[in-house]
Amino acid sequence: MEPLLEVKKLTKTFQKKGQEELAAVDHVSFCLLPGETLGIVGESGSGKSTVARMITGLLKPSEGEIYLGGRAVTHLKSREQRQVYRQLQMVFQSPAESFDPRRTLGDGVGESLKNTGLSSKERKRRVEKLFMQCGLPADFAGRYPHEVSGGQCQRAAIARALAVEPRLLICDEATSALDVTVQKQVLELLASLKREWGLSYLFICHDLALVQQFCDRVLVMAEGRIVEEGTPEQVILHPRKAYTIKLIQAVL
Amino acid sequence: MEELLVYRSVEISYNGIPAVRDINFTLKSGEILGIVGESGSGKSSLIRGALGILGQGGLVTQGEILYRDRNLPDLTEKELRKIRGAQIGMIFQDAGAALCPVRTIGSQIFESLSAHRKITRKESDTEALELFARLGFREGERILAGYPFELSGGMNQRVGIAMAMLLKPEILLADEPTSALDVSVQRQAVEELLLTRELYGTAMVLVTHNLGVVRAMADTVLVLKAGEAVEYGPAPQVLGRPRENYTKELLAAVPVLEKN
Repeated sequence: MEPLLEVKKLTKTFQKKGQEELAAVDHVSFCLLPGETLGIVGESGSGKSTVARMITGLLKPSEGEIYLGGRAVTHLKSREQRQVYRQLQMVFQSPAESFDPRRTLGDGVGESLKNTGLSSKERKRRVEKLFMQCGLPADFAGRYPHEVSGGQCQRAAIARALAVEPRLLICDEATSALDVTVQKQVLELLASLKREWGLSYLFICHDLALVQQFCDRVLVMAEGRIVEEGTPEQVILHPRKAYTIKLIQAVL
Repeated sequence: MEELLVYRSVEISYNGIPAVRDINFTLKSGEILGIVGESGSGKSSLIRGALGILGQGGLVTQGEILYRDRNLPDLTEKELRKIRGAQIGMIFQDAGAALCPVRTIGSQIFESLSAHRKITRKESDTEALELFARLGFREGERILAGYPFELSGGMNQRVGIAMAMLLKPEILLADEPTSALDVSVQRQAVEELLLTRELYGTAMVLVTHNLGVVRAMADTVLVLKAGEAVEYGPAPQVLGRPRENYTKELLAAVPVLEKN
């Protein structure tokens, strides 16, 4: 099967005045197959989020290549970029902060549809449908971010990500800010969307137990590099690297 | 064993609207009580109420919070100031933010100690270094001379725990003390808190949504939902054989790592 996403020797270095160059992400290579859920675990500062930001184009890589559906996306012009990036969307950690506080959730979700030339009536219908697919009442489209709970807001963020019908969702600690009971509901939503839409996930998370439950394959990152890679069974039940063993033992 | 802290049908309201209703529990010396619940369930209000730090509009509106037979909400600010820190210590979720950014850790430790007793800077440094060594901090001198931003988030939190401990309070109230930390640092902080109890016999009230931390530390557990107590009892019973549906639901929602 051709990988949906392939990353080759991806590197991001940061240079501070008077300090040595720091490689936040250091020659990272991996691929993600269609329909797969790939987890990235690691401690804070290990480079997990930097990888996600480079894949989504929010950060420019210092070195390396990113292929989306077989196409190199690192050096595309803006028009081609827009085409390619419709295939992937991101869900952020803090749901309320990822929405404009002065506009309704429906505005936020529908914004990306504006660029696709839909009429406003049609857009409204689509937004309401998306809300319902994500387990929210359709009239929530008229609410503001501060009028809904964290879990509801994250559902709206997922609806927003799905609006352009992407093939890949990048979830950067998408459930970390939620209560465990709400986290469970959001994970159930993600799992059912995966079945219905045939989505793939890049699931960045520091909670090993969650990754074990939710992911098909896991990458363990430390200090900008991939330390270990495999199925949750291999990596978590039979870890080989000292770092992974240490990380697993630390879980209470 | 001695009953240190007693909550008797406590109600806490913000601007007249009750956020926590009819809470009862007892903390004995050396006991660790875990308070768990979802966000907004009133966990933090419960412990903030004891020290009179509920913030704007927050008040203990009913019941008693007894510390050594004195009702804490009745005390004057002056009396409370003597109790805060020295007798009942507090650890916040983000110790880094609770420290002053433009002063060294050493001078802040000195300030906190000298607020409660006569002490020289030299003595304060010696005491801090001694405790740092016991807790296994490396390069204690560098920590004392350093500023909060020079330390990692985890190290700041460990300093916060150490600062609270230096006053050797009988009770430590900890509000999500490990929630902002990575798992490996989290484990370290938990071990340090347990060591505190071993060294000084400190009793603790631990507010957290992390059931793993509660499992590792607590003797008794109180489960809160929407400001009301759902279940209260010994930790092995509440976590192992919960009676209430809500507790079961809460426990089932926590992903548990299968280990080899």
